[in-house]
Amino acid sequence: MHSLYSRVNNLSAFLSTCTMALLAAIALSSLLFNADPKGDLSIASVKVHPAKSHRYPRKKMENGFVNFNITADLTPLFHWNTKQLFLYLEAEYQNTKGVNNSVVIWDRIIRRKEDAVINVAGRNKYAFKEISSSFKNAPTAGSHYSLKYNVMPYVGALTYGEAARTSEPVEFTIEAAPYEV
Amino acid sequence: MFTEELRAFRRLGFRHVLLQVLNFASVIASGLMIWKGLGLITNTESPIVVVLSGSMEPAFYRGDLLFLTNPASERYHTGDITVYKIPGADIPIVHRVLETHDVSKTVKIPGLDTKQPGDQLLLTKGDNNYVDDIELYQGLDWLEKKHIVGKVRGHRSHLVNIRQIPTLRRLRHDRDERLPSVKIRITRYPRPIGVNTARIIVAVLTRPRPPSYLVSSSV
Repeated sequence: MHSLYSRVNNLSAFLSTCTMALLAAIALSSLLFNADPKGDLSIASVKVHPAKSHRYPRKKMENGFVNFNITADLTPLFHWNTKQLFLYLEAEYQNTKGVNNSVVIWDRIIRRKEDAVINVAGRNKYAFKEISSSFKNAPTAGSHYSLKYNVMPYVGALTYGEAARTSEPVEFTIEAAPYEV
Repeated sequence: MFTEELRAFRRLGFRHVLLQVLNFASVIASGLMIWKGLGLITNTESPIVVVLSGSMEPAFYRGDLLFLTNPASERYHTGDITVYKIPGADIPIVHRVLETHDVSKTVKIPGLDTKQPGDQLLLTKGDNNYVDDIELYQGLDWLEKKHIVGKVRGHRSHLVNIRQIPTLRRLRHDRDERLPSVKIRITRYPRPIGVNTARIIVAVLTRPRPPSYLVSSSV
């Protein structure tokens, strides 16, 4: 009854139950933190240049180049169960063919509270392409841009939020010459 | 240890041994039921998966557990983390959605069949990769709903640091030389259930006395 084996067995059972309960409590506690910080996003310019496709060498295509400014203080999103923030800037528009596009053009992983004050003037990290291969099919009004984040916990549910959004759509400026670096 | 057990079994008789076997089988069956039931509720073939490689670092490390759901009406959004399986590839991949293209009118997309309203075309990328996943799609230009195993809803960090285990260090080295892609293993029995099952089996087998509901008068 009171052998060493049964003691070890009981102890490990108790410990694993406690660990599970603790993990559940931590996961639930992060529901109490519902900060919704807002920032500013401004789009300086959106230019479209003709480009070559890497995948289909003979296909004509266009690349969008977006210059933007972001200022945001996301420190309230950091609490004891925040592992990291995934911050991303996306373009959203419906083209004339009836396809609703959302394209991530820039992202950043924020791992520390000290890095959560964002002040970025930058250009898109990822290729911004129209699915029909030409931005002539994009709406004349242009595209909306929004800054979104994903809070990733150590344990528990992933949550999403939006920190900023352009109030007016931003037009695509079509350029005739290829992009010069 | 076992001679004593055997003596106890002999004393208790054949029926008791059968009951123990039944007990054992019910433990295993209940584990399987929980797993399959979870799969039914979440509408995915594997509701809990284990991360096997590092292309989503620092979000997910090897050994982390992910909880997936995939309701039939699910729409995917940019920033969502999806698990997808390309036909012909043996291991599913967990990566983040970079682009979504929702079709609202019947339209012909270059390189694809005519797409109907409601169809969705996706492009993904691993957080730890520099480029999107198009090279991993084995010739496809876009992911579609049929390729998606599930969307990651919850996460539990690994409790044991797998990177510290020497036999796996070589794998990690391989990973550093090639472009990493997160691979996950579909566990038929997720680890928590496995450990618990083992614990219960040990508890049943090493129980010092038969439980009272089995034999109350003969012993």
